[in-house]
Amino acid sequence: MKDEQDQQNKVDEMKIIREVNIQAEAFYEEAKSLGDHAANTFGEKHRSQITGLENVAETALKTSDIFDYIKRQTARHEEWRQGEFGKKLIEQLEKELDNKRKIICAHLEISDKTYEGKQERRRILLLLIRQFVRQMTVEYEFQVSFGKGARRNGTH
Amino acid sequence: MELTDEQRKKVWLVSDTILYPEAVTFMRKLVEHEDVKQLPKDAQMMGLLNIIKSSKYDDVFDYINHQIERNVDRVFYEKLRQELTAMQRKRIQEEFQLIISQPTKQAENAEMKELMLLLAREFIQHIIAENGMLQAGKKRSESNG
Repeated sequence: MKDEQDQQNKVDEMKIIREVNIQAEAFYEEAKSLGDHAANTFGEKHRSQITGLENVAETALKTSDIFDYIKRQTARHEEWRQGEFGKKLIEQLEKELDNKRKIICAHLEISDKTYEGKQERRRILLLLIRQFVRQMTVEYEFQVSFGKGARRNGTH
Repeated sequence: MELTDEQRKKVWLVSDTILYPEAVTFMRKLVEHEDVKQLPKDAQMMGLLNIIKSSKYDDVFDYINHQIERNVDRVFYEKLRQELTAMQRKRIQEEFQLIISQPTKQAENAEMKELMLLLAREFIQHIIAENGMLQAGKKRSESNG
């Protein structure tokens, strides 16, 4: 009985991962665009700002920890305000990814009425945010190493 | 008083789904309040953050009362006190369902204080972050003329 339940949990988890990956394909262009923006704004010099964000996204237990971090960085650092980078990023994570989360939860019939469903919905948003930040960071790294940002910052 | 893992998980859920959007609304309403000339300054927010991170719940509440008496960002602290009072009197039990029945009145009280400290910490951290974002927006619009 326990083995059956474990097996079912694994299947459910695979379904969630698959759905998150499908949605990640859909928001790839937005993540790439913000990665380019970050490369232009932060360049090589302020790499720690982006790795710091990635670290927070990977380790946060709550989505609001990530939103708060972005807001604090936007308040503290001019680079986060340039071209409204911080504002655009938070809008993307709070609104667009919330829409993606709703699509996934509707598809997998994850309720927003039960306690377990609410916790699962929260976790799915966290997974989507991590994917988005990873994609954005990869694009940022690529641009500062090989793109326009690299040339402008004198790394190549 | 040690909270259970399940209580902590519930607090995370409450923080993400209820306290975060409410903190955003709280700060945006504050900006529009007729008696508020300016948002709380960074130093004021850092003072509040230090208190909330290192104190007991009663000390946090005393600090808020003290700021009201000193007339420092009075509207902000009055509204914050209202929110925390409503949380403690009603929402923690009825809406958030965080209370587990305890064997004694003393244990019940300790549990309540521990939970309130966690909830206040979450709410205030969200408020401080939103305050920073609003201040940043203000700086940007001022620099754009």
